[in-house]
Amino acid sequence: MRVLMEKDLKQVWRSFRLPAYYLVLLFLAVSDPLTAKYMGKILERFAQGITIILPTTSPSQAMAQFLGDLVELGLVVVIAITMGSVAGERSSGVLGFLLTKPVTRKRYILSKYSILVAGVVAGVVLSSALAQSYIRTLIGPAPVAGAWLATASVAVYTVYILSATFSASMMTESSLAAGGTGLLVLFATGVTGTLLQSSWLGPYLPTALVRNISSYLEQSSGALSSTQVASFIRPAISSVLLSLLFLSLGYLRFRKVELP
Amino acid sequence: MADAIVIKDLHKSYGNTKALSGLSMNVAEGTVCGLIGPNGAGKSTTIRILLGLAAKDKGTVMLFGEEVVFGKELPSKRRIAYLPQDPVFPEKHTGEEILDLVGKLYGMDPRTLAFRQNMLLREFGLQTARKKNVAAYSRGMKQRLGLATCFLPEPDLLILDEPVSALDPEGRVEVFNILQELKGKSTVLFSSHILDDVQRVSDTLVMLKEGRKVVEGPVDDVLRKFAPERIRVRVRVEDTEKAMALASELPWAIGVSTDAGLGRGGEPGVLYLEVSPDNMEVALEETLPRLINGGIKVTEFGRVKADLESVFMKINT
Repeated sequence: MRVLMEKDLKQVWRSFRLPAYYLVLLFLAVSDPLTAKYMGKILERFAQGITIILPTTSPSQAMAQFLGDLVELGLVVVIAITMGSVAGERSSGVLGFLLTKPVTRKRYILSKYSILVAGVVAGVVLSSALAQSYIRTLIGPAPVAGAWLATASVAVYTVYILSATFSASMMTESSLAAGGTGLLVLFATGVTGTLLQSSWLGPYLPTALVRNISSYLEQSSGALSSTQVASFIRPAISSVLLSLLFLSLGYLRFRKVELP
Repeated sequence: MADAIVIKDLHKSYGNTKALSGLSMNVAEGTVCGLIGPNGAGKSTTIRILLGLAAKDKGTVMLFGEEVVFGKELPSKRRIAYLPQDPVFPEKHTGEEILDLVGKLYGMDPRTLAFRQNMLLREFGLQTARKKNVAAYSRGMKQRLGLATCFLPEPDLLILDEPVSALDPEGRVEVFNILQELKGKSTVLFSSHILDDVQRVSDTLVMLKEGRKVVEGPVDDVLRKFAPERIRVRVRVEDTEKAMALASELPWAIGVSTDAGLGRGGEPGVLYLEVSPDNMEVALEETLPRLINGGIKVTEFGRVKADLESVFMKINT
């Protein structure tokens, strides 16, 4: 599988799909702390003659803003880079090229999925580290444990949406249809999360991962409480299970796909 | 000799359209088999089922004694190489990297891989383009690269779908020379519309029509059976009927026609005398004097070699 992974890594890198995602993350990691720090001054320049009093942004708020943007903007980019991963190769004929070599369908899928997940998670982790250190320099230190738990939440949520899009890509020959399905899952997850937020199911839904980000960062002391950890583990497990379900459904369909 | 490919009673439909209806054929190890037939005859479907890319409705397909089951891994895949009609390659890779990828997928050891990679890039005229992205390759270059990927792992079975359709005459000769060299070492199944190529290179052939096998056997046997040798005679147009009457009375003539028996319009004043191989020598010596003595002015006279095109036209018209 190493050979296939090398090939997939070359492709996502040289086609600028992964670098584009990293550039977006880098932009957010640099611009969000800056806007958090200087928002008051920026508004003052535009609103001449009006006095605007804004509370000073705390490091936790700056970090929450960065992670929030990672969810909003980052996920759209993740869907864009994932949607053609299988569907594109199927429609172009590359899938046929590979499957007539000593490559099994399972290995083909595992390789692609592993590279995408590794690439995306590495991006989230590294950009979070960069954002944390930049916030420390500009504003002050954000709670480290809370920041990393919030980062882990974003990473798991990102992988969940990636898995849904990837599964759609396994099921269809159209990259656009796969991307549309990814966006639909993102939207449906958000709506379901909002509607069922206060029900018993709320803490288990994937949206709980991103909803809890601010509470992880509010922790002033170094350690995380067991409640906070539990509030991460519950939706994380359900997100992983849902991801596995998506992947299984996608693979069941992909296994039976006839190729030209 | 064992069979590399065994197909028994193979059926495949796409909705209401039958692509294969009970196809059975064998390809012996170490032979070159040409798969021919008009468009839609079922050649590509047969190849796709053989490679595990498509599911069969019914029947048995065996490669080197193992049954091909759609969706299940085929252990003998390492022994097989395939070239589609229009090869495509993973994006953002150079020609050299494609060969490297294929070699590694086949588990070739690095030294052999490097040696054969250089040799094939030279042999297929891709040496200067080896570091170029394959997206920039022409159709012919892609076909040559595709052929190089097939020959790279020295497979026991090569399945080639129209392997020379995008090659110039020089490239075609080169490929067929390689296929000739492979005889006895590897098994080759190739489909082609260029019947001259099939005739030149194949030991056996299978002709399909509407999803059924219509002809199978050694090329020479098929030619003998379906396309007896002929003598082509050109006379003055007004003498055509007289010449035909005279020629049909010749004791070695099996038949006389103006369309070479192909079922298509012939040339005015040209007739074809069908002769059994045993009588060909007598026919060549005696036909011309008999026609001249009969008052026919002959402007052209010669032997027409049996070819697959005649067989193809005869069966498909």
